[in-house]
Amino acid sequence: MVKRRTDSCRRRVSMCLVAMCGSLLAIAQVPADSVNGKPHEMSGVTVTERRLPVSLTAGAPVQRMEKAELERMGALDVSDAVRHFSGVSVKDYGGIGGMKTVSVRSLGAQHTAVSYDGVAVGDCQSGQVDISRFSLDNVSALTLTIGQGDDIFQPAKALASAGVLSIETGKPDFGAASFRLAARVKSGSFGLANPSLFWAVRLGGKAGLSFYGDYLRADGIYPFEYVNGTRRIKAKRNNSDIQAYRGEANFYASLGDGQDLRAKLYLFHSERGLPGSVIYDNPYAAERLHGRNYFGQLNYEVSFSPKWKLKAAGKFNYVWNRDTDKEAAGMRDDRFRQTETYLTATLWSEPLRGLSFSLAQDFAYNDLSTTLSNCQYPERYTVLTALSAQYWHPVFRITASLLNTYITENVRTGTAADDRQRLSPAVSLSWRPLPSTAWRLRASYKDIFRMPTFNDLYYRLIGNTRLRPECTRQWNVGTTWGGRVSPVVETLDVSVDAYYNKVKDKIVAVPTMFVWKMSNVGEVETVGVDINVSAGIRVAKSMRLGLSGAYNFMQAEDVTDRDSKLWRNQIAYTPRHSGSGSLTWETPWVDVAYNVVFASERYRMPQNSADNRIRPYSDHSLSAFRTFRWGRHALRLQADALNLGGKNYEIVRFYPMPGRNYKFTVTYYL
Amino acid sequence: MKNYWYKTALAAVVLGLCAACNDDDEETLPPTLPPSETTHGCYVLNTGNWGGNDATIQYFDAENFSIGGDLFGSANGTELGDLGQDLCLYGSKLYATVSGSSKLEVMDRDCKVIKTIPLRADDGTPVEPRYMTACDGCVYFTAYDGTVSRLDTATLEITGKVVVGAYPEALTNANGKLYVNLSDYNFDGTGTSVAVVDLASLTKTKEINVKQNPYTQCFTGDDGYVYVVSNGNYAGTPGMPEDQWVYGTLQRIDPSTDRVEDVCRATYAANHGCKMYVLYSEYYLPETKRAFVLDLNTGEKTDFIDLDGFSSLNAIGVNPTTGDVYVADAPYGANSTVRVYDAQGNLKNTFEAGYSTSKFVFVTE
Repeated sequence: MVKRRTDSCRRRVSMCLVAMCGSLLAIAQVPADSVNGKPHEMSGVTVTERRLPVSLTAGAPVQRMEKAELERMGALDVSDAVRHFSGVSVKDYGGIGGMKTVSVRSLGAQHTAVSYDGVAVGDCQSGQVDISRFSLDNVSALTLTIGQGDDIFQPAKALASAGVLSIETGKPDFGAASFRLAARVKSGSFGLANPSLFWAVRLGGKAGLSFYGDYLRADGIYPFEYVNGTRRIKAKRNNSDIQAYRGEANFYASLGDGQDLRAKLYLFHSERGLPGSVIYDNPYAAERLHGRNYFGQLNYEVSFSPKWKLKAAGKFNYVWNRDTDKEAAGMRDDRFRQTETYLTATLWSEPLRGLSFSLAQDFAYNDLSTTLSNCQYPERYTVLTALSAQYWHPVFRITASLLNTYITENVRTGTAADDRQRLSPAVSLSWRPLPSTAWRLRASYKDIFRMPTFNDLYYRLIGNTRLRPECTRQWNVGTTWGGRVSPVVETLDVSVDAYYNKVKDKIVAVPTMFVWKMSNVGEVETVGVDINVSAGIRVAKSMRLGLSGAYNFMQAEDVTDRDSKLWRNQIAYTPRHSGSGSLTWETPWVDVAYNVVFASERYRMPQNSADNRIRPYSDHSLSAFRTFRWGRHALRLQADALNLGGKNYEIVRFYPMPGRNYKFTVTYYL
Repeated sequence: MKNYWYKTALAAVVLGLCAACNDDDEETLPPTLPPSETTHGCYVLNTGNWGGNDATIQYFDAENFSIGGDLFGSANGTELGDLGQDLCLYGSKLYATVSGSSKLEVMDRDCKVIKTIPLRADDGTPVEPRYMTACDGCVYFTAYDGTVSRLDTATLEITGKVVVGAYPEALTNANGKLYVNLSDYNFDGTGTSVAVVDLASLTKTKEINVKQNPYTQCFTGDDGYVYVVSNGNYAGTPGMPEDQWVYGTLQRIDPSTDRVEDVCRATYAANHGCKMYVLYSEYYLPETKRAFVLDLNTGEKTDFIDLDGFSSLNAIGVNPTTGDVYVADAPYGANSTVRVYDAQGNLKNTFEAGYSTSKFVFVTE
């Protein structure tokens, strides 16, 4: 499904596709406004028919948000935007510095891979990626694929999880200019200040260089109310400040003979306070988390002929964290360091028209060292091989893949987990029963697993090297339709999907006498429906209305043991009903966007008792923005009012969310 | 078609608004039984989940076998707090150490708060109180700042404090002394002793070596000995050589000589007269799982109950009036179940308690 997408943004997609045929340096990082298809954006490109978005043509649920939508949402980081995707729950510990992880269709955050410009961002220690560390400023598109995607020209790692959130950063569109500049300042409630600078320069005809840097700080001291029994208590979050620097450098080049090269260097430094959960009668919080993340990646792609393509990439990732806390027993100071070295190559060929194959080979090395007592210094070698095939016909497309995983681990002390090998199949089908219409049916199946993380296996005391992988099987059937209904309703996109997931050998920490141990207990059965609708309506000649809505039903039940108290209980932190909606109103004077996300009640524990219940919530926001232009210059002003209801609702129990807050953004483009 | 989909989209938005409208409904507290109406029974302490603010105290009427709801919540209108670590009945008052909330609650027997004592170190850090013992008009409690504090039960003021060592846990008193478990909190082999504190002067006099990780159990038996359970080092951990295994062990200290001797392997123990009820299990050695009664005079062990139906044993207590044995099972993700057995191990009753039931405090008078 696609939300908050208007025509101009669709046009941009088309434009990109047109442009990409000619040159690599295509996608617009320029004034990315969504407004009324401003003439300069359209120059030289004639769009005769709307190209259907990938969300309607894919064989499995794919959702995509482009730059314009992302900006319109008033979102600060990637997680704020991802919340609007269908079938997704973002675990948000509140505040700007709070950790945010994304789970797809109740499978858990560890089943969602996050990729940044085509290369996976891993975390071997916890297995879940905190997506709050990615700024939206520099992002050109977010794509969420659930199950088996249609693109088979991918690294094997892209097939190795139940869902993939892919973050793409923009490549500058120079047009006639020799450089591009975007300077932005965001400011808002709770001491938020976030200046950023983007600068790109053309190096000759076929190469480019870009830099992005930003600084973010916030006090995060926001007031909240909570209820203890019959008493209503007002308090303020403390120790939830954040300070972060981020920098990125990109180099692109077309080397000729169909060869393209991209290189990226990324650095991220942060220091933040962890306010912890709200504890009755004890507001003390002094835990600090320092983080450093550096990575470099190199992507190379070559087309030998229209029938043969190869791509390869390499990445080195370094993550360092320091976690300190001042406790009654003394100062705690723990450090964690992990690295990942990742290499991948994928060969693609289309021997017959419509029939294509790919073979992907990945290798990854991970290691972790900590200052905790009994650290075992684990290291992991992962070898992934994926063989995929796709057959495309104007009426249908079928994609199948088989992934082989081999993992071996070493530890310096103690015993390492056994080697593991698994085969994981996936298949998807998209069918257009009436070739004259845009109505499609789709079905997909994927069998995949997540490895126990280093914490699961080796963490002091609770780690368990005997763990088996947590396996998931996903089935999805759906239908999509997209088209023009009338001269007024210019676009209408609809998708409806029903799915069934089964999780086996769920890895959870289980109390066993006085020791907690990671264990493979638990089976979860999920039945769900995702409905997405979006429409573009032309109200007047220069006035347009965009409307979109998503509704998700998710029944995710514990089916481990018929005699247990948890039998057929909805699993923790999974709303049965959730969704989002948006309304955008584009006028020649100002554009206004209204967004809402909502979720029904959830439970903080596996047992669905009244005292575990977390109240339903809805979060409304309103944004207004306008771009002014003169000559080659452009200035964009945006104001956002977030969580209009002002309630300190909870996504995670005892982590209240900030109430009503505001944000202002000024961006200058050259 | 078009109208239908518009409606669906609108419905989604409206649904969100509705969700916003009805999220203010208050939940009602379950009914409770005032303990003054029963002649004997026990308070049940449910520690709750870390960060969950869900510690509760219930009352179990042992004559009519009926369990009440959250006594503290209904008596005071607020919840007890985060991690109810220990509960102590002394004289006419109840004392609760609430570790996460870092406070001591002093209550009457209906759990109505008499005084709340926030516990902070001089630099403002919460000291996280742990376990209690009471004698001679005072309640003594351990805390994670490495101390034992003395609370005068008449004035309800803290009248003294002594540093005993890192991460003190359960403690007891015998022969004019306090015996304090110094746990192996960091699992680095440093927690292997019981600190001895002279009650009169409130000074630490020595440390007695015991097996690794003396933790939640330290009590004075009916025979006057001090009983300490050390949880060991998780014997059977893959990669650990067998000669380094330290099993969970019940030890006893003679308070006149402070000499230690091993009694038997144990994870939880409760004493009644000459009988010691023992629950034992090692995570990595599942075949060791056993419940038995140890005759302290003869040393004879008799099998007690079948542990197969339990998922995670969390507490054991003996009703001193009837000799009934209470065993709490705290399964993953759900509230605890308490099973009540007679002295021979026949199941008499089962009741549902709160989260992580950790202590039974029996009312005998």
